[in-house]
Amino acid sequence: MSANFFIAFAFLKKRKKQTIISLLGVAISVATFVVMSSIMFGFQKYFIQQVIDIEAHISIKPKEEIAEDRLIRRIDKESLVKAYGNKPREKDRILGWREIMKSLEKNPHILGVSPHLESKGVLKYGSKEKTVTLIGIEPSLEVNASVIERFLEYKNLKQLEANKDNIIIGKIVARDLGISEPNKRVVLSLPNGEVKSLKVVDFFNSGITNIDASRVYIPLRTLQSLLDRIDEVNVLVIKVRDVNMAEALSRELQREIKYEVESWQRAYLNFLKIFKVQNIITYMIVFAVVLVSAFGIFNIIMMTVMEKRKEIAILMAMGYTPRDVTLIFLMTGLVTSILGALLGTILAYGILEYLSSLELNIEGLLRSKGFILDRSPLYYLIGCLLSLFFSLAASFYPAYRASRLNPVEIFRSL
Amino acid sequence: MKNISLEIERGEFVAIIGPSGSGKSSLLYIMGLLDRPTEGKIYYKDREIDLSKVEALSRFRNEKMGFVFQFHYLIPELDLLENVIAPQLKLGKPWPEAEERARELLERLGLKGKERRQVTEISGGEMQRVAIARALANDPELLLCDEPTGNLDSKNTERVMEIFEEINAKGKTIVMVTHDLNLAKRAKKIISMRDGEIVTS
Repeated sequence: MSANFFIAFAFLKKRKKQTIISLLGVAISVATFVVMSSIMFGFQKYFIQQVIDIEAHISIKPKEEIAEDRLIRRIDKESLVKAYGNKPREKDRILGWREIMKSLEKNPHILGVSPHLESKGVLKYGSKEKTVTLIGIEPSLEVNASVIERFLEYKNLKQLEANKDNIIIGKIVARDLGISEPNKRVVLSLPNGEVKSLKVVDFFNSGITNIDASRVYIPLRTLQSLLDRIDEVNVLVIKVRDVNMAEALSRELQREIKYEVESWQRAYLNFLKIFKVQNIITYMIVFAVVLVSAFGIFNIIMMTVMEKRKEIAILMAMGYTPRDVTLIFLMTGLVTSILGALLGTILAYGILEYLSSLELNIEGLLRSKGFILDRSPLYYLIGCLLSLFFSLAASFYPAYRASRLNPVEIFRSL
Repeated sequence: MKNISLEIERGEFVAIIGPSGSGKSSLLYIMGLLDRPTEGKIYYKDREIDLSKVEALSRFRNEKMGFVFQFHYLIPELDLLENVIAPQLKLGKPWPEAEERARELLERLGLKGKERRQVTEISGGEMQRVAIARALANDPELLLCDEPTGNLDSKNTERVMEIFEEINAKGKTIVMVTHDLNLAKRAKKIISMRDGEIVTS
């Protein structure tokens, strides 16, 4: 056994209470890191995955016009007539959408494109009413660009083709209208005054609250007909090969297309920013916990060095070098932090097992039946390494101080 | 200290006496390479010792010197056996060999059967004998003692002095600092110090 380890271990064994307290501090800091990371990233990753699965990777829409654009500014001096007022507003539609789709489908980065017509409406069932976002889709084309069927309770996407009066509504829309089973009839009212009775054939359940609380899928031709917008679409939904390349690809496409090209990253930018802020805050808290445990180790080793002056002096007289003394105290910190990290890993695993077994109805940004956890082993590794690093750093100064003690001064003082 | 010029022969038993503040402990610490003189050189077997190399000095102390102080300085976290093993591990001896040597020394010093006791479980005289065993653990050529009987009663003092005489008879060089003339007279050579200088030898 190494001489230094022998002495370090003896020091640790004798001071059981202090060693256990330091150990617990390290364990708690590791467990905090792992559990917080699992919860936070579990939620975020799930949310992003749902968004990627449900929403367009890239969407093409008409640009939103700002009021100023609609004012006529130039006045022709030579004409007899001078016109003042608003320019007629360009319709909310994509002209030449079939050609655009054909050209997009040739792009090697794109897996599929689907046309949508989106509008607002009000659904009524009995005495209940709900404002909804209507999305007109062509099911046979929709499957190229999204995995919508995955989120349908009865997997009845084909029903939208079977009958032009069939619709699929969001789960929370259904809940708010009091519809719990399919094949119920609802009444749709549109802004242009059109009213139609439609049959609910399936429910859409993505887990994302604001989507499930507003979305209604309706056959494209039905909606086009109701809005008197035959063969018109106002959104093209694109599915890409690599979701992480969506933003770069959208910028490329924007150069060629006059309509607004938006990636999912830009569409959900606010959420992604919130997640970043959330991560910063969470890690500040975790960092504080790690720091406190490191201070605990610092304190205990420092106290030990002060109390063990005589022992350090005699070790040096015996032939232990200042470097040996540094190593002895560094080892006490290292052993404590390794054991603490191991305990923390077990603690974290236990807590995550418990959390994953809980059945709760969580409804916020996401809806779920319990905690959504990311149980990656990477968090355990990072948590242990972080803790080890800080514990070692905390041990360093006291260990260094120990090595600087002058044995002669200590012998003389007694 | 001033004008110190001193030679100690192998196998000598030297006592350094003098009143408090005469510099006898300081001289011992310098001889033991625990402290550095502001000026001057130290030779061991006619070779000058490089006083700037801390690691080398530590190794030298570990291999060739043993210290016994007025206070035992035993490490309370270690039992008696482990206290005597500690300097041997530093020398690089494997544990079984170190343990055997430690047992042998403790037996020689009348502590057989008490090897696994804690430091707090033995008497003052026994503690000092364990300190002597520790000092002899690496079979040093030189034993440096600073008031080794200062905290002991007369019976234990006598016991320790007998041990020193026995060790010296076997060829070990001993330098002992003491303020007790009677103890000093048991050494073969007495060096007197006053105000940092050697006055008689």
